[in-house]
Amino acid sequence: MGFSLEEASILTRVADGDPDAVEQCLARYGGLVWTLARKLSPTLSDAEDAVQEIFVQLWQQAERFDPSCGAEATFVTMIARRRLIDRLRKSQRRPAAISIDSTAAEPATHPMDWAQLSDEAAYARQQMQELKVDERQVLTLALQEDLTHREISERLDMPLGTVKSHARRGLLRLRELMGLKTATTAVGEGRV
Amino acid sequence: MSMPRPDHDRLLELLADRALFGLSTDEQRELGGLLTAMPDVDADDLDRIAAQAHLATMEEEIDLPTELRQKLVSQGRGMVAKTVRPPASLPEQRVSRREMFGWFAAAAALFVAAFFATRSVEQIVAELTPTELQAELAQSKDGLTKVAWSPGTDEVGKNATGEVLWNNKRQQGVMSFRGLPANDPKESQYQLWIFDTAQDEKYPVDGGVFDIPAGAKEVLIPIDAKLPIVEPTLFAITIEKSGGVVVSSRKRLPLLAQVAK
Repeated sequence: MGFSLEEASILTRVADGDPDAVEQCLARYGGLVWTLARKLSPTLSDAEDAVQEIFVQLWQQAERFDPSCGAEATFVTMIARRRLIDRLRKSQRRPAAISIDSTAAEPATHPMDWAQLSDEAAYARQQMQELKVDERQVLTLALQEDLTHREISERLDMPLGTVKSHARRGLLRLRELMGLKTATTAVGEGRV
Repeated sequence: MSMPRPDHDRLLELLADRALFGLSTDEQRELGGLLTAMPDVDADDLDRIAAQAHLATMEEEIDLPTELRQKLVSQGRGMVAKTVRPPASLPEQRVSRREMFGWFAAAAALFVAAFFATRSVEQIVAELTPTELQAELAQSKDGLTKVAWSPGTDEVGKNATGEVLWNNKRQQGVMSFRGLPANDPKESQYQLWIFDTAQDEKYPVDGGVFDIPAGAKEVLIPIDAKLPIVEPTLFAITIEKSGGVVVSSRKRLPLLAQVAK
């Protein structure tokens, strides 16, 4: 498992102050971030705001990208997901949210280019098949359909506590399968 | 007396929940406390796994709309170029570009962090009413900009008065309006744009959409700047379709507030 130098180079160049890298970053990750934003935003204008916030954060924190921790696409997705989930929780507390304007002209969609984006993600896809059925089902509903604990519980007719357990265990198991040994594990093993 | 061992299992639960579903404000506080107690834990670890798994479940992507992309390119180019400009007083070759960036990136990150932290505090903890915000800002001495509205090019603003209060240090502001006609939110909305020295004039910062209700004598609207403002030069109100726009055509421009240099 690995990633090409070219894949790691865009955010590094942004961090080095290369304005041309901004355009390349948007060309490579604009569709990814927009797709995530559309899925995790209550309205179209909310998605537009979110994308701006995400890219501002990426420009400013490009230096934080560490290739030894994961692929560039993973870093971009992590930043995007965090902000979107945070915004979604806030908007859910505000009942004024309306559904996405379905009349807006929708740009083209195309299949994800796994090879270009991240072989790590392709590997994760493979490793997800190794999870227990319940864990994989809960993780897929949480990630692919962006359902909450409660929605998954209703969908699968499963107690809320069980959903939480499967989600947590599934994610931790996936981490093991992905071969990431981290300080979190070290703490768990009583080494801290 | 020995200190109790922090709850590691609870930390993992919170990190997993954050990665998949997000946390409530109370849970965020609890997580912050546990991470402080266990500084060796990689707080991003499970977020990275969730990101990889999310990528793994995505079948297709939607192209970024062209207008939004152009705006982001413009904003990003300006931001990235400004971030790394080395000070003239430093001798060449003595400090590497990358080392130099560290200082600027740290400052910029602090600025952005402060910006979003301010927004979080505003949105989550103590939601000030517009009246309270106006009173607080009016009393603030450091970083305050106060500008009166003047008519723009659209007839709608010809009888309107009011002002903008913007505190650049706090990255917060409030607008007041008197005599601005009510809008039908289903048809159109007012939108604020903030022109900033850090941004291309073609792409001012979106300051949020808002409505003027029928029959209101004076309306106070908190400013919702979507990006950090470095130095505002002009506040402009446009009339846009419901929900607002990413880039305004500026065809309907009822009010302006020019910041004195």
